[in-house]
Amino acid sequence: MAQALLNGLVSGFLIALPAIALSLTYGILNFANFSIGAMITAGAYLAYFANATLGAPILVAAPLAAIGLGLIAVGVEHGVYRRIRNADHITLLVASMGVAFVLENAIRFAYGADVRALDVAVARPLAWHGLRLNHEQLVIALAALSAMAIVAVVLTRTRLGRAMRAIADDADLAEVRGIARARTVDWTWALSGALAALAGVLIALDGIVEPLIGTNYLVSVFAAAVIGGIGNPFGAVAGALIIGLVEEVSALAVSTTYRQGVSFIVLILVLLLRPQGLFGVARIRR
Amino acid sequence: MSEAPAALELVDVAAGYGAADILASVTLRAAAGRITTIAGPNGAGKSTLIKTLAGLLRPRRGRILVGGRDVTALSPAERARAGLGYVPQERNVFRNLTIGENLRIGHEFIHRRASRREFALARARVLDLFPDLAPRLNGLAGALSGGQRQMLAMGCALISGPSVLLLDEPSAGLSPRYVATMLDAVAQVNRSGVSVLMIEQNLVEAMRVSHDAILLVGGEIRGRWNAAAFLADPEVRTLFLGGTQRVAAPAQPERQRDGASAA
Amino acid sequence: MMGYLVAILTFVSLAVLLGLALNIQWGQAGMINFGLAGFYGIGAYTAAILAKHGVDGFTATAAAIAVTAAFSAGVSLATLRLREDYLAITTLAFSEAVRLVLMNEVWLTGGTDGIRDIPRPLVGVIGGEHYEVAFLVACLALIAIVYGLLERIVSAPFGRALRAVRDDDVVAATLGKDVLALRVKAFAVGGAVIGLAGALHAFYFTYIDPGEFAGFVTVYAFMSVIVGGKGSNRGLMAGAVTVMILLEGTRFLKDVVPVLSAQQVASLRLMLIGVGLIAMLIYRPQGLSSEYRLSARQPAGAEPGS
Ligand SMILES: Nc1ncnc2c1ncn2[C@@H]1O[C@H](COP(=O)(O)OP(=O)(O)OP(=O)(O)O)[C@@H](O)[C@H]1O
Ligand SMILES: [Mg+2]
Repeated sequence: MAQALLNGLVSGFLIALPAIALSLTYGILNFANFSIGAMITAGAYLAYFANATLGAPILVAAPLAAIGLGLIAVGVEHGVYRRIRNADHITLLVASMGVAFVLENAIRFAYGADVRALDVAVARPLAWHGLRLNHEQLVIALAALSAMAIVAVVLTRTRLGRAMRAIADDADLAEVRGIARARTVDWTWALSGALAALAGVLIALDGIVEPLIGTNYLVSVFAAAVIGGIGNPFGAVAGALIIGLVEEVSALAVSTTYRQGVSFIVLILVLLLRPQGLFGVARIRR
Repeated sequence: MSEAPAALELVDVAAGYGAADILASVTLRAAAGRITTIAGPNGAGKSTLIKTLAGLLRPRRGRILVGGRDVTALSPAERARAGLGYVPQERNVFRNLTIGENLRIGHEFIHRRASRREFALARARVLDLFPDLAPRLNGLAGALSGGQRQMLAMGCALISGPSVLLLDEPSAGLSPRYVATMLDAVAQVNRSGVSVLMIEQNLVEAMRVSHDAILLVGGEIRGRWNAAAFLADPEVRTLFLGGTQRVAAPAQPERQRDGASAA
Repeated sequence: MMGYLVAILTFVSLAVLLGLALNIQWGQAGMINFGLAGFYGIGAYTAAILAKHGVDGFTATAAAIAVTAAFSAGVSLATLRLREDYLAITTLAFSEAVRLVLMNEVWLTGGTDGIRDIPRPLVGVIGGEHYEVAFLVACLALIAIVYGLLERIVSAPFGRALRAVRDDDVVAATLGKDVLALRVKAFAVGGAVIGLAGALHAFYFTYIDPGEFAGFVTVYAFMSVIVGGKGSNRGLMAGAVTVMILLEGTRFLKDVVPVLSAQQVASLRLMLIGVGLIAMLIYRPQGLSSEYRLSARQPAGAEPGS
């Protein structure tokens, strides 16, 4: 049980990164980015490209992937979302699904469906009072925590973060206050892309690189974001920890293949009982 | 028309939301260094007019000038950086941010290179004007009362030191004593050289501090008055004290040119 | 050649049915179904499993329709009062959950191996030789029936109410019980049509596995609806045909660029579909056909940046 809690915590850290990414773009652009799963996958493949193809060590490959996906996300914003900003947000949802489809198939085009692995040394797990912590888990926890700390500092202590929160709160008023919306949106996508890429790399560290790794986390990520009150990045972290713990603890009873199924049920329960999330305010159809 | 330089000028502006125009063809000037008040019944298009000035609504036609400069093509953010301050009627503060953050946001995107000290000074000036805000800087703006929020909104617009200030019902929701305080604050800001265009419903109080008054009915300018004469005008009296039928009656479009003198 | 044509037309028929379903859910009611593939899978597996257990084809099809409609109603109930995003999230998550069940409940679904040798209805009567043609005729007849029913729904008070809820913020904001029920019904009707398409899929291919009910099915359906002009059933037919032509037409890519592997060509074609979908949303959001739509109701110029 304690081991399950520990695993759940680590897995929650992992889910938190894309959940934050999703919440950031939701808050500022007011639509759910359905390409988040494909973005995770793309991040893993970018790291794979830098690591296995170019031969960069993983400590270099991971930031490269984050920067690369950040740039791709900004490119997609300019090429797609910005051009349909005046349409309703349903159109944006559908567009993000289209983006996911293009990304996924671009990856398959480049790398096929073969299962690959990053070139990283395998270390022995750490043991402590009967609890085991894999080396990868430790890396995941540390990397995710640092990323979350950076996001928290950016959001609360920097001009960019205030601009992002101001736009999320009231986009018109933000413009009236002199905030350049387009530029802030670009930075939001860059940050969102970097977080998704980091998540992809960490998932790949723990296992393998294949075209579905992002999709396999999609339900958990959305469930985490909804629990946290979608659009609220801090809530998303809490939601991710809850989802991570529930998934791991439920694995004691249900087959681990049903992780996402468990998240789905949690998602439905939250929507029925507390759609505004545990910490947020409901966005009722207006 | 070689009058005093206009702080704000609209030339034949048409604007609206859906298919129909709310403002048909509005031409007006607000003189520099003065307080101009726009009055009119609910739904007359006053907020629409001021939103068009702030840049939140693109005009369908016409030109908008601030201090003689054509800003029609500028975004709201660019207009703000050009010295246009704006306090909306509703949703005028970031509710999920603290009061301190609201003030800071009011300053930092317009004076991008300002030092800490400059910001601290600007904030101190605002807090002098609205001392109620001082003890609550770390509280969420959404937790303020309507009147306090109004003060914060005003403070956020003032903190960047705009040259022209657009106020959409600054005294709305304030208790009578605070209405006077708020309008006194507007007058004080104006004396420091800021031109003010405001919408007001508390006409008696508003005329106490205003120089000029403009009447907007059904998206059209019905005339302009010297503030002192405004409330005495029979048309204005029927409009604000009488029935609604008379509102629809045609009026002479240009009742009076700019008042020659102001108090 | 004839066989190829019949096969293509049958694929198109299935695509048209899915598009019609999405058109009532999304086009008419404004409810997003990102889990269409999952519902399609439920329809196909219900029909296949029952048929394998000796249930006759018509009953199995009816059951597929009913089960899929019921699941659709259930899923839409969960997010009824919430903004559209939540339904999109829920349906997508539902479809992932369905995929997991299809892959892992081997006793029921055969797991990743899928279900083979699904008995076709009336195969004894028609005979194997002309079965494909007869099946196509049946599909076309079913499309005609579904089309007729949906058109009636669209022009009935039910359809008008649906569009009113979709377009009018004030109505939507004050959703009463009746209006909520309306939306559940619309989603269930769409689900029923998806279930029908799923059953036809199972009987046509006689072999199904979980891989056939993945996201690309959903993307095709959205593409068909967008190309045809959201909300227009007639446009949709053209849309589904266009998408299928795009898919089939791009097969020649392999001959043009021989260095690409079959897998790469397949990915490239899917990428093209995705790019096409995005391009449509950007440049022709009303669809390629310019049919009369109730677009005058939507305010033309909103505030910039809103
Ligand atoms: N965002 C909007 N979308 C569509 N129509 C609007 C919008 N805002 C205002 N209107 C319409 O424009 C007209 C003028 O509204 P406006 O807010 O400018 O009036 P107002 O003079 O400020 O009234 P009040 O004194 O009540 O504040 C009204 O008929 C209103 O219904
Ligand atoms: Mg108003």
